[in-house]
Amino acid sequence: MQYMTTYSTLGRCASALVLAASAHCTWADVFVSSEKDNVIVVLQNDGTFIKSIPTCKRPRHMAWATTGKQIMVACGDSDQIGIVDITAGKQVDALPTGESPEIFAMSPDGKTAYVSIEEGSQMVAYDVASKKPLFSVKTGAEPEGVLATPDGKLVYVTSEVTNSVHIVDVAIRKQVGMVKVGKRPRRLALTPGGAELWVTNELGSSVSIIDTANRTVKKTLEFEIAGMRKSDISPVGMLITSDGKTAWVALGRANHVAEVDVATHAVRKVILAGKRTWGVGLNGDGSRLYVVNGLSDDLTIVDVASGKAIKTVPAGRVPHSVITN
Amino acid sequence: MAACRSGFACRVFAWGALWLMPVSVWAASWQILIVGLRDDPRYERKTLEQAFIGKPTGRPLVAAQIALDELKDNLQDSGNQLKLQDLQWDGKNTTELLAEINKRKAQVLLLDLPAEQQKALMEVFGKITTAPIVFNISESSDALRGASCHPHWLHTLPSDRMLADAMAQWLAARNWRDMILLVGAQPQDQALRDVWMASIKRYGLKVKAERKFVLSGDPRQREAGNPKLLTAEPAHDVVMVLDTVGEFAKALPYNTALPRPVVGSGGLVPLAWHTSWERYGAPQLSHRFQKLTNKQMASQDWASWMAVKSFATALDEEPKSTLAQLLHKLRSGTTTLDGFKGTALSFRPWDGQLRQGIFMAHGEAVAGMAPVEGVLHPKEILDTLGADEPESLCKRR
Repeated sequence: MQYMTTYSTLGRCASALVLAASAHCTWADVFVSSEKDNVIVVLQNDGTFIKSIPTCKRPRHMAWATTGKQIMVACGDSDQIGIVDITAGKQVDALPTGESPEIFAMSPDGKTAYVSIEEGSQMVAYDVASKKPLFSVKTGAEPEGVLATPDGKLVYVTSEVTNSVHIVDVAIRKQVGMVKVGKRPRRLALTPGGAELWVTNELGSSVSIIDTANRTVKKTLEFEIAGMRKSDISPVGMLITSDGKTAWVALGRANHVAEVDVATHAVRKVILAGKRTWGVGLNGDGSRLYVVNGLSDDLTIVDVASGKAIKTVPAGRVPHSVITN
Repeated sequence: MAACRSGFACRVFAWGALWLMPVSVWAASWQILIVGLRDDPRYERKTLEQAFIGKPTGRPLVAAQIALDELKDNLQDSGNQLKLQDLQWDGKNTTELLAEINKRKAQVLLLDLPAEQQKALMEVFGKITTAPIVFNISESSDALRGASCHPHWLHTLPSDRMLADAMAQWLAARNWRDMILLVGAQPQDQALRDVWMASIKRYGLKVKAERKFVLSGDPRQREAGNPKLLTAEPAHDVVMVLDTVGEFAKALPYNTALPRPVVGSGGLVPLAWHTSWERYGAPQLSHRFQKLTNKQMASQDWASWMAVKSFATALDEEPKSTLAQLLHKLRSGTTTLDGFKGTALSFRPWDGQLRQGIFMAHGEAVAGMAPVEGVLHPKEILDTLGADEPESLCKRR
């Protein structure tokens, strides 16, 4: 069985290499954090289950550690960021944080973790090596999405309650600006080059696009799905492709994921996935999109070229985020 | 500017100052006043200990304070200062209450009062100098939203009809249509029964037998006091109990003659809030409340939190609004609000009721939420709960 699995993985990798020379193949490809059973579910590129790695409690947002062999995962009920070695198949270390971390961002050098902490409404920066807090900055109540700019200078944090994005200057460790966005802002994505910051508004049923130069909302992107009302659409998870051409937005209760043209801000299409689409991730060559469905406990694999959902596979219990390698 | 006390005076000053100074000098101060009863039977020690489901677990001040703290910094940045106070009234002398409200120049009132006292105050509303926005945070009577309505009166707690519709949807969705209906002997129980009957009719549920219950162990009254005799026949899917006191309803589950679920005031109960709900940021709010009070957040606490949150949200969106503009923003239903229930909430323009989802709760858990999946409405799904526009009895919109 082990042999068969490996063989089929290699087979898939070989064909992927033919199609896209840049495809990076390893044994496991897709990692899904599963909030209720405290594991990271590990799947092959095609959704085949490989294993579950036990983690700290209530794993949510994930990011690759600098080595590329370890996953950092925010554990809401353990008050820590777990460090999970995917080869060893276990959590090997942890960075203690404030209460109930959900989303974090790593500095470009991987040395600092910026974490939104609800207790005291703050963004706390932790030194990964020494595991010590470096500084904290007050935000609006219920801070959520965190994004560190690639130049390492700024950190953006959303506040779900005050409907705003807080801009923190890392050098002076202070808030230097605040932008009002839509209702209940959740996640952030930056266009390559950093000209635009996109923010999903869960209750606003929209995405606010912030002009980062003058720190104002230049456009509010609305979504429409035939047969649904605006209130059925609750965007949360989002990513922008590395070529900067496409944004993928999970539409929450609308059970769809939207493909948006970044240049024109036009919605190209919406694709039906599972119940309450949440986190989104792309594979290495961008040919497949993975959509986490929080309420149907599964993961939908979308073929990007055709814009079609290929299949949906089980992915734990209340899956939250997905990352790939 | 710092000396400004009254919102009105400050605004006049600030508008004048705008001609001379940069825009940032805007400042207004807003007084929020919670009005409760001095000797409120709901907060007597014994009543609180009984902890009947759906009843308040304490006074609503802390929940209001939590909402204030959430948006305080934002509002301060835009020059608005919110102050929260509470006062306890004897429930009789309206003149005295008016004098106190006027003395404190309250622009927002949160009424934690029984229906009669709320009505009495709204009848003399014209004598309140600030023409405040009034939030009913503790009374579910539909009459306050209907025939007794007032343009300045908003209701964050769901009405009885909303709760009844939620339950009726739940039963209809499961096809648990046949019921034995047990109603208490109090006049309030009878009034509640009339409201629930309208929901029962709307969703095509069938009352196979309706009986009055009494709280009594007296063998001469056993037909009305013994749960087994009350629930033995005819054939039914559920036992619905309507009990405004709560004692009989609390003891009814598992004491029925047949293995049937109890719903209504006991067993499965429709609620505005329940701490077991795990989604939409609800646990964070319940957690904040628990930390401050060492108590579970109840529906009335949520309604208090929601009232302050509604006002603060409207102000946060348009920081230079007058009180009249803020009322319009809320009452017109154009301001959407985050009640941590997953969907955007707003006030119904026709009666000032906050439209919202309802939790279906039993004991320690939430079974689900209404509106239930599959229920349809031509405009707004939340308006399947409670008085929709065409059936509203409110004439003063």
